[in-house]
Amino acid sequence: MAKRVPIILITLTLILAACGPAPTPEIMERTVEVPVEQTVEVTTVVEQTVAPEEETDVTLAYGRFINVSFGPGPAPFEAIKNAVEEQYPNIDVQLNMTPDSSSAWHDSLAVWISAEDPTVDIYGMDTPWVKEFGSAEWAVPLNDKIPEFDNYAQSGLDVFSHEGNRLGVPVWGSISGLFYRADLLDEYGFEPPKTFDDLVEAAETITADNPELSGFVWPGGKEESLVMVWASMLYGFGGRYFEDDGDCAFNSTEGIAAVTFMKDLIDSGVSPREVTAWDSEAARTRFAEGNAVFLWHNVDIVTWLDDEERSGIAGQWGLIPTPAQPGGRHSGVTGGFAFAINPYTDDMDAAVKVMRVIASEEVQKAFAIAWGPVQYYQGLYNDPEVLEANPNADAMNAVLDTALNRPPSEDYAQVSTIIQEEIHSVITGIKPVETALNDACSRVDALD
Amino acid sequence: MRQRLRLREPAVAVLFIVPAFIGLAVFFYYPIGQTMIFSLFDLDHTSDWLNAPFVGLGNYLDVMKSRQFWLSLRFTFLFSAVSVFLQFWIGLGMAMATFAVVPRLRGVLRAIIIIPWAIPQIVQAAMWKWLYNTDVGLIGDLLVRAGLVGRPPLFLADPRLAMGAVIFAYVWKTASVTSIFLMGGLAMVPDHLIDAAKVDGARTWMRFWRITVPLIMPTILVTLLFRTRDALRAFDIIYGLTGGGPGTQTDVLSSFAYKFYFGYVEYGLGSAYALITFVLILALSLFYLKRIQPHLQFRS
Repeated sequence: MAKRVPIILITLTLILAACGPAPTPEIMERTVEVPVEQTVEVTTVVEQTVAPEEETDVTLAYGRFINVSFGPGPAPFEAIKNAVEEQYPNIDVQLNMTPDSSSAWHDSLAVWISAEDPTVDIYGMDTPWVKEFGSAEWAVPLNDKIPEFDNYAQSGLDVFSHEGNRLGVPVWGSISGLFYRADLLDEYGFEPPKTFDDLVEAAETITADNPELSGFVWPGGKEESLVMVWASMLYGFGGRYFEDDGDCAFNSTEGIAAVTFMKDLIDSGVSPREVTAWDSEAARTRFAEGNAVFLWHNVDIVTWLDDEERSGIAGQWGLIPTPAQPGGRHSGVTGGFAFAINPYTDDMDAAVKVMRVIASEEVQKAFAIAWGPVQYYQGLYNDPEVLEANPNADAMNAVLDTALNRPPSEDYAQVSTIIQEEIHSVITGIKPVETALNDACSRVDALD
Repeated sequence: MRQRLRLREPAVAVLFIVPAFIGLAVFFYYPIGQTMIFSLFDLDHTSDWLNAPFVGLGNYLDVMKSRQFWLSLRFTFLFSAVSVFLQFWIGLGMAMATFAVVPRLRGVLRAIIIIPWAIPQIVQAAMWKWLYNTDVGLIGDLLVRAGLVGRPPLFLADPRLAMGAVIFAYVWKTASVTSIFLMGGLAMVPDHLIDAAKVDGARTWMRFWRITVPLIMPTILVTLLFRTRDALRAFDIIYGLTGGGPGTQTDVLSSFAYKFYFGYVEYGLGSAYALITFVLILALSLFYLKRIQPHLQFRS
């Protein structure tokens, strides 16, 4: 009870104070003069707290070459990372390395994206996948997200478009051609070959005197490059992929002649039998070491073929379109990669920001210096630094007009596998040419 | 007052089994069930999953009509038969060798045997790919230096060599696993029986056939069951080495499930391939189990 006394007293005091009479105000009257015009300067200081942007990661999926520079500049990944860090310090760009093989790369992406996995925000997309990825909605349409597209050559953007949707920011393009040893052709009095017959004649003559040399090397292993070599041959012999009604035309007379020629190259020794196990790297190594007269390859190696540290044939090579028989067309098979956004990314805003940085002139220039031609950002090849890094860029002009896409199909992965299996069966002697091509066509036509 | 929870033996057994069963249910039974369901639908990367067309056994008919399927089935059986035969005899030889050496060296020998087993298959595939490489491979170079061949063979691109090359690489790894299995069986053979046979004048070969083999027969059958099952679903090393080539010469059943499911994103058809492979392995396992049963003694 004693403890409660002070509380009661305080309460009573407050009540009494409240009930007491209020003090009476003293009323006074005064006249105040107020000026009519008065300028009042009011300075308001508004203190605003801006929340710092949240730290976030954006993961790119690309092959190991993103960490490699073939020119005097930094590797493309480093260029992207630095440029993003400069513009968006809160975004850290990470790399998820994909397999070297284009097929395995495709399969990894197919698994991730079909499982709606957000781990990868941005990924490298190969040209033949565009139709498949577009129809499956595995790439975010970028039409209104990347204003930098205005600076690109339309053709480069079209390669990575599906039904009007721009799906990728191109970072590298390629086209194939025929590399030859200019010194050897000069020595033996041959012109660079225009037809396959010319090529065989020159190869046989030169290798007869130089048995340590291979005549014509190309990637004939069971992988994507084989599809590209075959496509060059098919069109070079006057064939085509599909009839007007969409039926497979690989097994036409011209198609049979093309694959028979590929087999004959090996049987006659013009191409070493090892080509059946080679990828592009193995084939170009043989040529760059000075051990082959002709090489089928993408043009991008022009950036380093004159580098004496990496090439044994500096200043001794030339590049021309892949030969064609009368009635055929010279065909440089196109390829290339773009960056696309995974629709299941958990940070679309950050992914778009990074894509815009990738699409910027600064990063595209870094790609051009590190990887060389072909880049689609307009005006890039007027830049002195880019020109200095690509002294042989003009050599490509010879093949640019021969561009040929790979067979267009929503089931490209299957079409490619079928071609690889059947053509490889022929060149390794497992199947006769006609049987293999008929099998290829019945399998392709059976696809939905 | 605390009370002790008293459980009868069956209840304790169930408690021990439940965690394992949950694991099996989540990681095995559920995917198998899902694969069964998927295999009945026309599902691909463009499908609306909730309204995918039901095709019943249509995917299975497509598989049966595929010539590639029958070719790969033939190769899978051939690959399994040859590789299991080789790995069994090499494994048994290695296992017996560990008992024949002086005890001091036994541990070292067993460690050496285990090394190939410890290397992941896909890493082995990369390793063997280099060894078989025609331009810079060690094996081809040694054969040329020994004067056995004029130029390095195309181990992985020559149809006559590819299958042998793949089997050799596979057996190199799996013989060690087989050996580990069989070491367990050999350790159970009582020394006194061998000694008694020696006293009776039984020669080495007779002791092996009449005493060792019958006594380790349950181990042999279990080993063969596991090794055959693994050979039937071998994939990593073959895919890593040849990608199924040259042509389709080394395509195995498992590669079809992989290619259709992950490569072509044809989930329905890929599931049908996977399930057919599963049923084949299951049938073979049941056959083995039936053979093993008379040799096994369980606690009553």
